[in-house]
Formats: sequence, structure tokens, C-alpha cells
Amino acid sequence: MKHFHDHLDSGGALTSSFMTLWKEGDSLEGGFEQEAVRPEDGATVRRTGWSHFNPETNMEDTRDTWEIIKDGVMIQSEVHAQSPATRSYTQDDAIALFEQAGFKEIQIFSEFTFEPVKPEDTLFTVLGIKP
Amino acid sequence: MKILIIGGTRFLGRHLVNSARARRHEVTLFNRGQTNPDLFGKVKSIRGDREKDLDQLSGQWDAVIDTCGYLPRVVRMSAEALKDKAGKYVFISSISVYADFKRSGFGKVIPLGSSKMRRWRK
Repeated sequence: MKHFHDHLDSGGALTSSFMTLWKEGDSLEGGFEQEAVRPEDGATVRRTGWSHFNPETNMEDTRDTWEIIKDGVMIQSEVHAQSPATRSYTQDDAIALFEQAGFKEIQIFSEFTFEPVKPEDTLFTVLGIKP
Repeated sequence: MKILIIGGTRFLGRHLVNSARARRHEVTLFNRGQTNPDLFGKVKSIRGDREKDLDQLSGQWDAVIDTCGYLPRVVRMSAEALKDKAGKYVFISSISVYADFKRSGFGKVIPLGSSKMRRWRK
């Protein structure tokens, strides 16, 4: 953050999005499955996602398995794994990062909108100005 | 400055457009018009798909900010198409490009990583 601050001219803006990936009481493991039909040949494209959050490091590992299934047979598969994949920030964490780097006029928005952030938002965008 | 923003109506792009306009920069958007097409009614927009309509980008810009590149091939195409039309090309990427960001406070030169991918075909 300090590098960004040093790089900017006075009046310059920095914006960044953040996610809160986990809170006390949440499961450390998560997962999802998505399917779509490939128009060209009617094959099913399936994505199976897995994630694990480490509260000690505040980071998440992810693994995505992509499969193409045609006529009931899996014909191709890829596994993409990232460790770590993402760092988690609370809204207070993110604002503190901007403040510590020297940014002022800090604004925080809900998700990727111009709406003010809500306390329950786990995806938010922060914007700060270099004085 | 004359700034071309590829995308610009979603994610961080909309904040870049606002900030640039607040500083009286001349902003042009290039996008498909599929997401929030009326968000910036007074901003010049070039409608097109970055994968097949790059020839729509006839102009000169001091800087390009690319906020919506998901595949290296696609970003390479736009960077190539704009290399003689823009002073700088800034690509908004992800922290996931770095090999290791377990620790904070790293310097300006950071080793890049790669997604660990296993591929097989039945």
C-alpha cells in the first residue's frame, strides 16, 4: 500500500476490492458445484469448487475441478489449485490498510457499486485519496 | 490526459472512471454495453467486444486502463492493438499472480507464480 501511496501524485486515488472470507462460527471448508451446457455439442461442463480457510494466516486455499461430460462420460478434466488463493480482510482491516499508508478521504462501497457499504457486506470496495 | 478504459462499468472500473472524471481527464470507455450501459451517460463510449472488435479503437490515448482481462491471450491482443495508440497500458490484475503473498510488506519486485494445474484426458 505504501508503494501505491508513494507512486501517486497528490490528489491521486487508489481503489481496491476486498473480501471477508470467514467469520467466527463459519465452517473452515466450503464448496460448490456449477454446471452449464456447452452449446456446440451439448456436453456438460461441470465446475466443482473447494476451499479451506486458515484462521491463523487469514488466508484461503482453493481447488477447482473442471470436467467435461458427454453422453454421461467424463471426457476431459482439469484441476486448478491455489495455495494460498486469497487473503481475507474485514472492513476495518481494509480501512486500516489505507489509513496506515497515508490515504485520506477514505470511502467504502458495497460490493462493486456506488452504494455505501453495509455492515454485513463481505465484498466491498475501498477508495482513498493521497493528500 | 486522454484515458481509454476497457470495461469501466463494473468492478473497480467504475471507480476509476469517476476518479478520472473528477480530475478532468478525458475518458473513453470500450466495452460491450452489457453491464450498466447507462452508468456514465456523458462519457464517450465505444461499443465492442474486446475479442473481435479491437479495430473499433481508432484514436490516440495517453493511457489505457484494462480492467477486464481474464485470459493472457485476450490481454495480449488488446495490448498489441493499442501499442501505437497509447502512451501507457495499465492492466488491473490480481494478487493471485504472485508466487507467495503469505507475508505482507513485500517490495516492488515480487516473483510471479502459476496456478498449479493438472490436466488429463480420458
